[in-house]
Amino acid sequence: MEILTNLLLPFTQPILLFFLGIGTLAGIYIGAIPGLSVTMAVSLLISFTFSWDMLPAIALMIGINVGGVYGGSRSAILLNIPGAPAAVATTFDGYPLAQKGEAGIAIGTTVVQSFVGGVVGTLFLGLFAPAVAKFALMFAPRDYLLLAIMGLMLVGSLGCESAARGIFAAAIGVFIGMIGIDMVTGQQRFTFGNVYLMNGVSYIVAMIGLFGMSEALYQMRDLSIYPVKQKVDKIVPGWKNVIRYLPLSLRTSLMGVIVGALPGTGGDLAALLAYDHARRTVKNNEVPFGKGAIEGLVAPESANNAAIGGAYIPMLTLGIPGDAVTAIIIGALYIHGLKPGPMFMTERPDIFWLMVGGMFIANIFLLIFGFTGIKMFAKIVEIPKQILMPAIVILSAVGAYSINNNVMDIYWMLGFGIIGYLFKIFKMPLGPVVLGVILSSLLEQNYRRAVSMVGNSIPAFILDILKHPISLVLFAAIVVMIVGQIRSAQKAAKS
Amino acid sequence: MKKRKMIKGEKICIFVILLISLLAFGASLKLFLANPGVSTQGTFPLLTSSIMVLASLVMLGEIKYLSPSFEEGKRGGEKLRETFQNLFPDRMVPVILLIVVYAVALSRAGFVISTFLFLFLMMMLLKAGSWLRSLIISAGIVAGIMIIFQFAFHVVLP
Amino acid sequence: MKKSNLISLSLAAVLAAMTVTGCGGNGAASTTAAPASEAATTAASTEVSSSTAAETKEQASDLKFPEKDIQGTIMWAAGGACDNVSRGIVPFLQEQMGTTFVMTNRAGAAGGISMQYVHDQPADGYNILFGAENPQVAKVMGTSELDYSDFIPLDIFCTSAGVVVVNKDSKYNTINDLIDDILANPNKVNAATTGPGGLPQVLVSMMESIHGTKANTVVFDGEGPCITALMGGHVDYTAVTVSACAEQIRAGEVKALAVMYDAPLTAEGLTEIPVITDVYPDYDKYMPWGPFYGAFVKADTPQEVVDYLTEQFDVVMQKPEIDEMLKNLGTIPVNLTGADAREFVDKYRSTTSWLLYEAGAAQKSPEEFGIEKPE
Repeated sequence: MEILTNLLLPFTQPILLFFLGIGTLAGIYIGAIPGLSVTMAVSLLISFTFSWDMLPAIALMIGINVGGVYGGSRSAILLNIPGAPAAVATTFDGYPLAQKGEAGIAIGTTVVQSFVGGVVGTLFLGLFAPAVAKFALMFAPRDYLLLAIMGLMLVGSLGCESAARGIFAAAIGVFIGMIGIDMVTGQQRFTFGNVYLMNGVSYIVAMIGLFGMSEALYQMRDLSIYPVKQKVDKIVPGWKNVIRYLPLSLRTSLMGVIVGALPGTGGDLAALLAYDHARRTVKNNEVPFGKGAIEGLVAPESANNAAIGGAYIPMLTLGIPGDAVTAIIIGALYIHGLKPGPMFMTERPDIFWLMVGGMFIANIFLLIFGFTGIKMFAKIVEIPKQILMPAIVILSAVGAYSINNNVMDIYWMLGFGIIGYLFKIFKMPLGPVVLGVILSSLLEQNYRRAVSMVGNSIPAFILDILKHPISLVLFAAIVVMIVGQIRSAQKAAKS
Repeated sequence: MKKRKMIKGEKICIFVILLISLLAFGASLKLFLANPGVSTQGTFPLLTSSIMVLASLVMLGEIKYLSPSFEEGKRGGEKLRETFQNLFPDRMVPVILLIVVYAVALSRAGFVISTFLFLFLMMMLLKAGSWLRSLIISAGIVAGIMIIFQFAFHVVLP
Repeated sequence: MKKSNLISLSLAAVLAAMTVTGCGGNGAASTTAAPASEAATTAASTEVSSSTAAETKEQASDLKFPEKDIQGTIMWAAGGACDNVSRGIVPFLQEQMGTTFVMTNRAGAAGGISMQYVHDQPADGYNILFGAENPQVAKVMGTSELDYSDFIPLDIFCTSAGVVVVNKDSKYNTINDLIDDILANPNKVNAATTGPGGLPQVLVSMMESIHGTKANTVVFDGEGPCITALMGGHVDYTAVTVSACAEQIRAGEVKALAVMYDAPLTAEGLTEIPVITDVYPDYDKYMPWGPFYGAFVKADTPQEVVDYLTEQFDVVMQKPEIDEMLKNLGTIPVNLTGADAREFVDKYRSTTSWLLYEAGAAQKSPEEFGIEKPE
């Protein structure tokens, strides 16, 4: 069977196995360093692997992709700085675990869950790619809007002091996201004629500043708190634990695949929606969410790795990138003489199955390599704060800079860091702000597209939602979410 | 909202937030009036800033129920000083100033020098240990970053 | 005085001093940067072919260029046509020149961000802009105060053409069907575009100025998303670069109604697409016309550097591998340099700026900028 030969190609050509392994390993560590992103690494690889044979180059890129999405969770857990936007949700319960000294368990869980998600993603890619692609195409701008609203509902789950604070924080995040040149009209909004504001505020910069830098500043207030010794003996979660969370991880992986398959959305939205889902559906967790609940790690980590497989679906069946990384990989395929598009699967099934097999093997490498270096990373948290905190400030600055090689980004990041620091002191929530910035453009652009597509009339827009099955389902889900939230708020008020 | 003690300066903070929200609203209104419509570039900002203003007003209302943060009878000036102390305890003022100096120095003196000095001075400020140790660690971190970012990833640092 | 207060005061003094003394450090910055990147060049450059490098250096022995890495700024995001073309050409340049090119994408403001960045750098040839055609309408569209009149074109690699496409199950079977329908239902037919100054929007304006059609534009983040929306049946039509939809057309996933050019396409599977000038001869006055991709440096770059770089690009562009790659991407290699390149970009600017202005799509009049009307 051809398919089998191609799937197992890495075993007959060990050089591919080698590159898959190296890629995954490198990806893990690249993803773990805030500021170095998978997108950056893959785009460097394009020129670097230009003269190579195509297969090793692809193997390397897949490895880095898989390793990198997982890797972001390491710094998210240990330093509260998501190594990649897909790891934002991992900070919510990951960092509290590290603060309690249980970083080992946290990292172990994320490795296993990333593997689970990755395998689910690969399975869908191999078995259902064309069907998923067709389904993904059916999502209209109004559906993207509804998904973004669902993402916003996470604010309610983030446990702020008061609803008003959470809503304000999300709103200001959304507002910040609107600074810059308007995509639709080309007009400048809120830029005061400043060239650097023209490009808007990068959500990665906001994330690094509001989460990482502000935490570093906050920690510096009280240097007498010694870093907690991390328990690194019980890292690998036992079988029982994996089975216990399996229903949740399978659900969130499915969410991840679909969201990843939607062109234009990827691991970050998937992880956020998954985290929200976990919060709403898991009732009897040992530790409350936000304080170190394992479920709070299971959901986003499985979702964001499943989203990788999802993102490859439109790339390999339609020639459309599912996210930023696949956009670059498409470019790489073109340069090597391939033509990603609807005929790709029929013209080059060998490459397709190689990629599926490669992704599966990369996930296995992830499982193996993911458990390396944990002790070393955990020790990082034990470095005395006087050294660690300044280092985090610098790392945040470099991370912010490397997004666009723009010094302004460092200034933005520092500004966000100081604002985040003040927010923390005044008990204003930070999570919703980052959420708002991430979702801002998805929300606004799709709102405008959806409404203008029906001739700028709100009644027609609402009718549109009710007429189409996907939109109706999403809308109903949002209504259920709101009702549930109001109910639990009432219950909390009574007690 | 849970009943707790109001944080020093919280009232001022919420007022500042309200002010910012009003400014955002004003700017959005201007944008909207220049291009009125249901899906123009001013619509969403107007919607968002209105939410910001409303939320700020609710927040103002909420803090009324918190127990006061200062002891009875403190004068305005003293309250201000205590607020400042809470926000920026002794150590934090030079820390934040150092950060600002670093930001400015970055575009003047380049990455290597600014970062090295920043790390070294910051560690001394925070009393991280002997100056020799701090020197070595600072140099090490700068070297590490240069290798990973500039050399391996071709990120040209300032 | 408390120790921390003392420290704070001294820091504040340092800050004040730095602000007052101004840019004294800039010279120091560039000299410290150069040794670091030179080390990176010698260590990281994997594509050095020693004999070619020696040869080229021989020829340019009087010219001390390049002595360090060259920074390439790509105008659009990764994965797009501009990115693919630029990143496809650069490795050949690296090998030939023996110099490392560090490529960075700086998308945003329809090219404004990348132009501003390169413009902010010294005009010494170490910062090359890899751009598309959008800057040439930036002034009238109000997206930037810069355009290619502030730059020197080194080489225009290739051009492309636009294609009007509809969903494979669409009720439109010919371009006439589409035009007639838009005329019958003003503002009801949805067209996907990429925003002001983008190719789809210019083509929609072109159709408007010739037929008087008023389509309802819906803006997406790029040509890829436009095609996606089309395939999902969420918009009625779009007009994008050939490379964005070539594979989809070949697979029958989208229907191509017309190629906006004055000659048929030569790429395999695309030769049967009706040519717009055959159907509506009025388009002749605009054609040939289409997006282009090229490399530029800031104006006032020393002539010897410009000549040297131009020659390097010229040699690379003549390689058969480049030709094949560009054709594969759905573009038409043209390799225009020097005065030809200048004339080409200027003609594009005047044609397209006036087109947009007359269709009512532009913010400002081309006259404001001294852009001549096309004959």
